[in-house]
Amino acid sequence: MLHRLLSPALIGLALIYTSPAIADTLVLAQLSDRPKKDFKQLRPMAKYVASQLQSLGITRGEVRLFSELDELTEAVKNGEVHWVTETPYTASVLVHEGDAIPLVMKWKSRQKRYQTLIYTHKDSQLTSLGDLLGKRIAFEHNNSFSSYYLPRLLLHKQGISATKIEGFNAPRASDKINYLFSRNEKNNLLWVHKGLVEAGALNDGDWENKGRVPEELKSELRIIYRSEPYPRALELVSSKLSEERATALKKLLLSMTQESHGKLLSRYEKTDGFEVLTPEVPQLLEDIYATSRTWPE
Amino acid sequence: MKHSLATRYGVLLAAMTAFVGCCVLVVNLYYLEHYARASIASGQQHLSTAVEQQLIRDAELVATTVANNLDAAVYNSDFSAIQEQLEALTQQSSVPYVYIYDQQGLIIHDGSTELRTYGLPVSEFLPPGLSADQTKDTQKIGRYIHIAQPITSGDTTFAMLRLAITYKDAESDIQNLSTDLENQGQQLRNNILVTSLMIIAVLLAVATSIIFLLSQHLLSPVKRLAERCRAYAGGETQIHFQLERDDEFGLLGEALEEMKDSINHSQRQVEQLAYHDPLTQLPNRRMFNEELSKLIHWAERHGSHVAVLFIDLDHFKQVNDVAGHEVGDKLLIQAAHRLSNLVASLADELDFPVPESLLLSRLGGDEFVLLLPAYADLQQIDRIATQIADRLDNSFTIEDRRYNVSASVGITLFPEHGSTVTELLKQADIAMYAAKHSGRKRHRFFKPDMNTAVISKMLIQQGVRDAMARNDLHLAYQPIVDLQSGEILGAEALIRWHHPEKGNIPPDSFIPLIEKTDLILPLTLWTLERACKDLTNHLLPRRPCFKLSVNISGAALKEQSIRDKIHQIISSYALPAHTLHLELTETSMMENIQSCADILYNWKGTGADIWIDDFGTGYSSLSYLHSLPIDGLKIDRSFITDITQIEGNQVVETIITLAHSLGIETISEGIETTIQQQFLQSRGGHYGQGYLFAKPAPLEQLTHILDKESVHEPL
Repeated sequence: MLHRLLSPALIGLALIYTSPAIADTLVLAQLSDRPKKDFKQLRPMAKYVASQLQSLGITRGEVRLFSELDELTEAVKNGEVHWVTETPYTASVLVHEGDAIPLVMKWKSRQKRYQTLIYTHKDSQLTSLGDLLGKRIAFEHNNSFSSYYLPRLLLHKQGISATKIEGFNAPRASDKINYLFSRNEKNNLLWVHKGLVEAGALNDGDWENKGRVPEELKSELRIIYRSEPYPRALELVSSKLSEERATALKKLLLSMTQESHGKLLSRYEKTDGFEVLTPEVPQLLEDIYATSRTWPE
Repeated sequence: MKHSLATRYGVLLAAMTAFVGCCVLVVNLYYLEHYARASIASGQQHLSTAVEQQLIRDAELVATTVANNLDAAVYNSDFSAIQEQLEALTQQSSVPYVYIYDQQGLIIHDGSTELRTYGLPVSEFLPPGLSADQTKDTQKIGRYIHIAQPITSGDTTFAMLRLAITYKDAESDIQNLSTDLENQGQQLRNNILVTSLMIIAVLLAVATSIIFLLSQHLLSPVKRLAERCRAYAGGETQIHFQLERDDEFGLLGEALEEMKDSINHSQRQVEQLAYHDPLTQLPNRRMFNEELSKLIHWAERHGSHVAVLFIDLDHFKQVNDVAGHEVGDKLLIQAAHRLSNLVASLADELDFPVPESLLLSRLGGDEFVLLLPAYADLQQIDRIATQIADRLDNSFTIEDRRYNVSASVGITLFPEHGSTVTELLKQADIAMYAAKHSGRKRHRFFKPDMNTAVISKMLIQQGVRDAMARNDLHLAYQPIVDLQSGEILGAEALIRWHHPEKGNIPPDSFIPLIEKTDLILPLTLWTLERACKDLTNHLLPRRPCFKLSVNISGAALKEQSIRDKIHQIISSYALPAHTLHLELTETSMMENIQSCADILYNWKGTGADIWIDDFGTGYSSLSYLHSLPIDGLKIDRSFITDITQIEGNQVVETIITLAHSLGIETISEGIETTIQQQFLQSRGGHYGQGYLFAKPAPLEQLTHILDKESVHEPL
C-alpha cells in the first residue's frame, strides 16, 4: 500500500497549501471508483447545503472524490474535507484514523439499515456458520460492507477466521472459511446455485430485489444466517470543522424530508432521509475497525 | 373515293409497318424478358453466394471477437460478464443458440440469467451432426451456420463457444432484393414497351403520311385519266388521253386514246347503221321521223309549210317474185340513185331556207319518202311529183335484163293535212294507195275522203294478220259430189274469217286483197296445216278415200322456203295417196313451166294430187298440160254459171272432153241448178260442187252429213 500513498500525499500537500484561500468553502467527499457518476450525485447537495449555511460564512460547496481510503482519511484529518458520506466500514476507518465525527445516519434505497445474509444451496447440508469451516464462500469484493466486511466481522466474532483462495480449485484451509470474490451479486448467486462455492453472502436489499435475485433461483437457495441490522450509510464531519458549522449541518440534514426536499435527496445517492445516530453506532464502528485491523490482508 | 387505291395502299403498308413493328417489339420484349429473368436468377445466385460467404465471415468474426472477450470471464466463471457478452448475441433473433462449454463438453453458460443448462452436456443441445469437440469449426446445416470457436488462454483451449446464425434474415433480404430486382426489371420492360409503342405509333403515323402522300402523287395520273374518261362519257368526244409520260400510265393513256378513237369510229358506224338504210345508204325511217319532227317544229315557229311525198314502186313485187330478191335489191339501189340525183338537182334548182334542205329517205321495201320543206306552191309539188314518176318510169337494166316499174306518189301537207309525224306519214301512205288504185304512175294529194276507203283496205290487211295471231280464222268445207252417183266424195277447204266485233267477213272482201301481199304465204300454210289435221282426225276415219282440196297460192311456187314447208307439212301427216288435192291457178304455173314441174313432182311424191284451179280463165297455151303432172281440172265457176239451158256451154264440154282425152278428172264448181247438174252429168263430168249440193259449212256440219249418209248408205 505504500506506493499508493506517495503521490496522493503530494497532492494533499498542495491542497493544504491552498486551503486558506478556500477557507469558506464547504467540501463534501467520498471514495469513488466512478467519479463522474458520484460527482453528479453529490454536487447538488454540496451546493445546497453551502447556500443554506451562508450565515456561517460558508460561501460555496465543493465535491472531492478520492480513489484511496488513506487519502480520504488524511484529508478529513487535516480538515481539507469537511463532510463525508460513506458506508460503515469506511466510516470506522475515518473515525479512528482521521478523527472524523459521525453526524447522522442516512437512509438509502428505502433501507434505513440492512442485514447481511449468508446462504447455501437448498440441497446443501450446511446449516450454520460453523458448518462453513473448510468450505468456500463467495463475497462480492473487498470494498463491500455487506458482502465482505460485515460477514467477515460476524465470522470473526464467532471465532471463525477466513482466508482468501485464488480460484475454485485452489487448495483450501480446512480450519478456516475459504473465500473468493464474485465481483457482483449475480455471480455470487450463480456460483452458489451452480455449486462452484458452498455459500454466498448478500445483503437483504439485493436478496429481495427480483432483478438481482430471480425468484426461481431464490427458491432453490436457503439462508443459513441473518445478521443484525446495520446502518446503510453515515454522514461524518471532520473534527476540523467548527462545532457551530457541524451542528448547523446536522440540523439542516435532519430537517430534510421527502416532502420538503424529495428531489434533492433523490439525487443524493437516492437518499430517503437522515436520522439521528443510535447508541449502537459508535460501538459498531469500533468493532468493525478493531476486527478489520486483525485481518492479515 | 372512299376506298381509293391510295387509301388502300396506305392502309396496307401502314398495317405492314404496324405488323413489323409489333413483331420487332414482341421479339425484343421476349429477349428482354429472357435476359431479365436470367439476370435476376444469376443475380440471385451470386447474391445468395455472396451473402452466405459474408454471413459466414461475419459469424466467424463475431464468434472470434466474443470468444476473445470472454477468456477472462470464463476463466473466472464470471457468469454475469459472460451473460453481458452473450446477451448481445442471444437478443438477436438470427442467433438461435449460443453455448459456452468446457473441455468435458459441459455447458458453462447458455446466455440466460438463470443458466439452467449449466453443467449439462452441450451435445444434448446441439443439432445432429455437430460435435462438442474442442476445435474451431464452421458448418452449414440447413438454413443455419453453426460455428465452434475455442476460448483460449495463450495456446491452451479451456472452453468452447458455440453459436448458430440463421440465414432467415439474409434470405429474406435476398428475397426482398430479388423482388426489388424483378420489380425494377418489370418497370424497365414496361418503360421499354411504352417507349417502343410510342416509337411504333410515331413511325406508323410518319409512314402512313408518307405512303399516303406518295400514293396520291403516284396515282394522280390515274385520277386525271379517270376525270377525262368521265368527261368523255359525258359527251366531250374531243378530249385527249395522252399523258406525255414514258411509264405505265403513259401507256394507259395511249391505250385509252386508241380506245377512244375506236369508240368514236364505232359510234359513227352505229349512227350510220341506226340512221341509214344499209342497202341504199339513204337515211332510214328513224332519221326521217326525227327530221320530219324537227321540220314540223321549225315550220310551226316560222309559219311555214312542209310537204311529205310518199313514193311506192309499182310492180316491184313482181320483179322480186320473178327475178329474185337480189335483182330486186339492185333495182332499189338504182331507184334510190335516180331519186338522189333528182333531189340533188332539185336542191340546186330550188332555194330552201332550212339547212336540212330536202331529205330523201327509204322507209323500207319499195317505199321512199321525200321531205319538201317550205315549198312555193302546190304546182311546185305537183311538178316535183311528176318528175319523180318520170324518173322511175324509165326501165332499169340489171344483169343485162330490162325491168319496168313505175311509181305512185302520195302527197300530204303540213299543216293542212296533219300536225304529227305519224299522222302525216299515214296520210301520205293513204294518198299513195289512192294513187296506186287510180292506176299506176300517178300522184295524189291527200284528201280526207280517201281515208275511209283506203283505210278499210289497210285495216283488212292488218286485220288478217291479227286474226291469224288470234285464231279468228277457220276453215269451211264445201262437199264435192260424184256427179254420176250424187255421193259425197270429198270437199274443198275454204278460209273463213269471223271478226270478234264485225262478225263474219265475206271471203271476197279480204282474200283478193291478201293475195296481192306477202300475207298469202303464211295464210296458205295455215290452211294446209289445218286441212291436213281435219282430214286425218275427222274425215279419213269416216271416209278412208275422202278427197280434200286445198288452195295453194301461186306465190308459194316462187318461195323455196314455202315450197319446202308445204312438202314438210304433207309428209308429216303421211296421208293415203290421192286423198289430198292441191289446187293451183293456171296462171301461177305458167311463169316457169320447168321449175314448176319439178316442184309439183316433189309435192306429188307425198301422195298428194295436183289440180288446176279456175281452169279456163287463163290465156295460156294448153301445151303445158303435157309437161305438168296434173291429176285434174277444176272448171271455173264463170263457165258453169253460163249454163242456163240443157244444151249447156261449149267451153265446159270442150274442157271435159280435153280432160277425158288427157285421162284426168274434172270438178265443176258453182253448180247451183239441176240443169247445170244434168248437163255436166250428161257430158261425163266427174265431180261437182256448189250450192245445189251444199254450201261451205263448218267441219262439224260436214262430219254430221257424212255420218248421216253412212247410216243410209246401203251396204
